[in-house]
Amino acid sequence: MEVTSIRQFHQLMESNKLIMLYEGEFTQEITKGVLAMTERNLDKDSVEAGIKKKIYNVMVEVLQNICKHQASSSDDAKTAVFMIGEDEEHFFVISGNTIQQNKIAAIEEKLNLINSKDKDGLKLLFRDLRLSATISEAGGAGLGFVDIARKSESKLKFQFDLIKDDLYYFIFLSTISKHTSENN
Amino acid sequence: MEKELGFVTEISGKMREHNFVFSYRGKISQETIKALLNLTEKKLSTEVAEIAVKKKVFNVMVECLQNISKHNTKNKHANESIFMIGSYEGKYVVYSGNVIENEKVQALKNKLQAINVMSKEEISELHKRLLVEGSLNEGIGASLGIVDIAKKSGNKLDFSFVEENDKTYFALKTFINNN
Amino acid sequence: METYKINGTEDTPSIILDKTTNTFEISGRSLPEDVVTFYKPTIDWLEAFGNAPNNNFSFDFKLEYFNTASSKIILDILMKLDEVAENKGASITINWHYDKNDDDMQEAGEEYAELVSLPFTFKAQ
Repeated sequence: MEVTSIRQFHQLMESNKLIMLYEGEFTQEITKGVLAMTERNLDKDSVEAGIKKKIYNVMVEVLQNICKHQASSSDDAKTAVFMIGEDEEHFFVISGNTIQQNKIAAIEEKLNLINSKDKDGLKLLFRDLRLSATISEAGGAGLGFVDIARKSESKLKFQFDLIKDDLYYFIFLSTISKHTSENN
Repeated sequence: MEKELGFVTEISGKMREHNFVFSYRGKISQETIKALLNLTEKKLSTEVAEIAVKKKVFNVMVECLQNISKHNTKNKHANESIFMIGSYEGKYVVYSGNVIENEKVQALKNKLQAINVMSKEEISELHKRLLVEGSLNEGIGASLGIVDIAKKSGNKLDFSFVEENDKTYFALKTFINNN
Repeated sequence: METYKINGTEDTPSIILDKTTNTFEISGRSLPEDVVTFYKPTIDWLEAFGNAPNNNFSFDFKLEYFNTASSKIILDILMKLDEVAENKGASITINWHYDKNDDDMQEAGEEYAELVSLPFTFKAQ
């Protein structure tokens, strides 16, 4: 990037309220580094401990989802993106990674189901999934999503963009309110 | 709050296009610096680059970040900084952008331009002179820091100033060769 | 005199200044936010030590990384030792350790060796 474009990129991050971006392969160590980075960021803000924990949990789930996808991807599709955004009222945790077309339907179905539930519905869904799912069932990406949804006040947002052939880019965004009242 | 997702596609596309590893926007404090260094170290440890190159990246990073953070302490635009690392086949680029007061621009520009016309030997001499003569209280930090960046990078400093009313956006791009 | 010993952190070095065992060492990384405050006890210790130094000793720098502000303090420390050698006739050697692949750290040591009259031993690892 040209030095003269730095400001533009800065503005692009700012207008989308993004405070941190990471692109590449996600190893366990890097995941820890990204978590530590965000944790310190949270420390400087006057965010309540309960909310911090929530954000941390959501980040862990999202990062683990990325790692799982990565493990089952071909070499040219291993990189993923992870973003943190923040405005006065919310934090945003965003991921983007490639995905095979044949996996989309199942994820979409899970996410739509989750988005159709209210707080109590999510609680039940979480309980049912935990009872029925075996660990090997991909740590039930489903269980992770439900957990994220329970910690997040708004509906989960997602999108699948076609890259080429049967390869898609899966974007996922969850929002966490900085105020406890709306959620617990 | 509704947030559409097209921006994720746009930004991750730009990150891939420029081989950005990470980008941080916000206030740069010593705590942030430590976390960014930690993350960079982990990232570098997964890569094939030589130790010497990795250390240079580390060096240049610290000087850029500490220059910004020192500057921030008396700056009302302290939260408006950006820091990025790009990596491609063992070559690294360190990018920083921050807002400075207009009255600081000329002196900084002069320093950067003066360094850019110096030979490697002249830069080493200047480094030595600043080390001996400078005092930590007299803002030696910034000058020595910039000279150190130039020395470690081995390339011309690539910078830009954009004036925005009562303040100026200062961007610096430092390229680190892989040998 | 009392030994000065602190353990390193991710942005500050380990320091041992021990007159009794004749051990003097700064190791690790040095990029504190406020170098002057961080190194004040070291400078003060050396100041006191300078009045009645050991006759013969080595001072070891095993730095992995230091920022420019620390580079100035390192020079201050070396100049202080230089003064001790000159005024008190102490025989002091600087052991400058560096990773064999780290040319910049070697170069930094060579630059210091030019700036003070103490003998330097370069130890590549």
